[in-house]
Amino acid sequence: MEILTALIVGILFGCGTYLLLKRTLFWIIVGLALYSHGANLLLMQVGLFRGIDPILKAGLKPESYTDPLPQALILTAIVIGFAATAFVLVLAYKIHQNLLTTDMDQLRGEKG
Amino acid sequence: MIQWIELAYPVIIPLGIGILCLIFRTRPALQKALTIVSMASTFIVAIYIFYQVYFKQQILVLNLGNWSPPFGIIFVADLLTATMLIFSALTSLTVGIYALFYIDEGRARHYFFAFYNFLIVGVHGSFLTGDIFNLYVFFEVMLMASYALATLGNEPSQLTESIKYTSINLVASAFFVAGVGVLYGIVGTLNMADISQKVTQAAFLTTTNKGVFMVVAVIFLTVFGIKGGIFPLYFWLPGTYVVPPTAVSAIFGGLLTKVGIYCLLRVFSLIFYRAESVTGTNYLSTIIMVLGGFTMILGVFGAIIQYNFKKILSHHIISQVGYMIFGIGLGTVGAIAGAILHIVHNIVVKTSLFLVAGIHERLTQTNDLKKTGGLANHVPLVATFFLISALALAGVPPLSGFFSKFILIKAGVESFIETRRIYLAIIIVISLITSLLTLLSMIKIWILGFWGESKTPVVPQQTKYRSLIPSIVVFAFVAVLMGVFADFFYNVTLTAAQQLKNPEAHYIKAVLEHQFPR
Repeated sequence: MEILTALIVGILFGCGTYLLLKRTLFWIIVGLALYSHGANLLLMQVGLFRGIDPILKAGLKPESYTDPLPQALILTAIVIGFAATAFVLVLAYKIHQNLLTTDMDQLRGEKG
Repeated sequence: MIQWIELAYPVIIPLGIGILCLIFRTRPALQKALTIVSMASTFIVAIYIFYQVYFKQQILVLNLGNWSPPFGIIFVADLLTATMLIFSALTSLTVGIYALFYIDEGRARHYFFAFYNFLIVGVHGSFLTGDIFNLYVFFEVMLMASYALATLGNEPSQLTESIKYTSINLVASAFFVAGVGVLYGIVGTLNMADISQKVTQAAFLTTTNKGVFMVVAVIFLTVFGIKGGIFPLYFWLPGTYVVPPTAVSAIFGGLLTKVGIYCLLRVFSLIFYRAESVTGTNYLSTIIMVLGGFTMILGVFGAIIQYNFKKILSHHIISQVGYMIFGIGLGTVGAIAGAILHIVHNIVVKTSLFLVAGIHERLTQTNDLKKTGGLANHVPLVATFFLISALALAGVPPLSGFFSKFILIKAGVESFIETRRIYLAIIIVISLITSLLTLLSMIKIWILGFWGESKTPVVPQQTKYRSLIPSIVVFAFVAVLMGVFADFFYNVTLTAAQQLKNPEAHYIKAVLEHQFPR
């Protein structure tokens, strides 16, 4: 399972990098989304520890509980990533509307 | 145990007032008044915090929700935080007053002041927090507000530049989460004081973990390097900081890059340098110093070839960041003191120069220095204050920039004499050349923009610019003060550097002993 998640993290970051290097704005945004998913999965992967559910019971060592914190962290990171992706999508829409292109090569070179 | 509830105010006041600004969207005048109240009261709180930290010699801690460390989120104010806080509060107040008269009606109606408040929430939260994941969250608050401020107005150049800014910062955020995750995977805690203590324990310094620490350190260097504008990662900066209205450029150029540098200083001095000193390698600090050298010289080369007032200033942001990075990389008490002094000096001077650029733009309707000239005849007062700030940036003796550069270079020379590492000598020579080239490009602005004959019609009587002058006066005054009372400011930063170099006796002790009674 650990190897599988590690591979998926690698694939997500790899695909994200590939898409970020494309010229079309839409693919760049998809690449950014893949990056944030990869990071979240990595956060889950490293915090992954299988124990019993984290509800305090008498006579159990602290080590035998699952660590609930990574899930809380990922939730926060997902929400932030979601908001940021929504913002970039709106920005891309505005660029398409005002400048009539989503090609990064044509968006280069600001004036003034 | 005293809970220093005052530490929450620099975050809560702008947050609450930012929300009020959203509610009163149809009444820009009320929003402006509220923003000034928010910034002024934050500044007063910052003075109080600084007074408690520096003159009473204590480190203030606030456990949010009464959780005892290492659990829960904490706010900590040591001297570094208090110093940064007081300068960022001063800057946000002064730029806020400038923005009242500079920002047009359309932007004011579209939540400019709300986003301005949220930006300050993020900046102050990043300074205050003692929890590394919380640092990420405040970083994101700051970045979201900055995306909005950079795009507000929908001008074509703003859109093309801010898509790059947004994308690169989202990549940085993803890496930040990944870095925090991996670090948490090793040490199992998010409290920075607790991490700092754990990285020196033998149980956490296995051979595998040492490698992982290095990977995490490089991830953090990249993340804060993107935000701070360090050598290979600064290419987005000059474009992005030029396109928004000048009040926004000023707060971006003055504060945002310095938040990146602050985080670098905090995280490296608390976590990675300590792990590194235990493992016995020091190539990380060497890398940072070399990057600092490159950042200085390439930034100033960028400035030399430009003829756009604001672009020259944005390139100088990069070159000045190089000095700070060099100090952080060198890592001796003197060098860190110099770096902190350089950070606060730069917040003041860089913001001031951008504000002058705004007045220049308003009077001449352009930023292109080839098309302007002779402003000193029309507005001698503005020209005088520009000259003070420009000379302070270049490091001319009685002003603030001289002392920070002097302390940094002195620390560099001392370290070179001790270790005889040849690249140190090269970086020191580079920093002196950079200083000279900085003076050169400031003189270029002065000669092309303020001396000679006007090439474009300038009618100061018909332009509303007088209300913008007080903000510049404040900054020029502070720059002079920092030069005249350099010994006081040096003592502050030296104490801050000593606290950073010995976290066991200060930061870690204050945080971990701050247990909430059961």
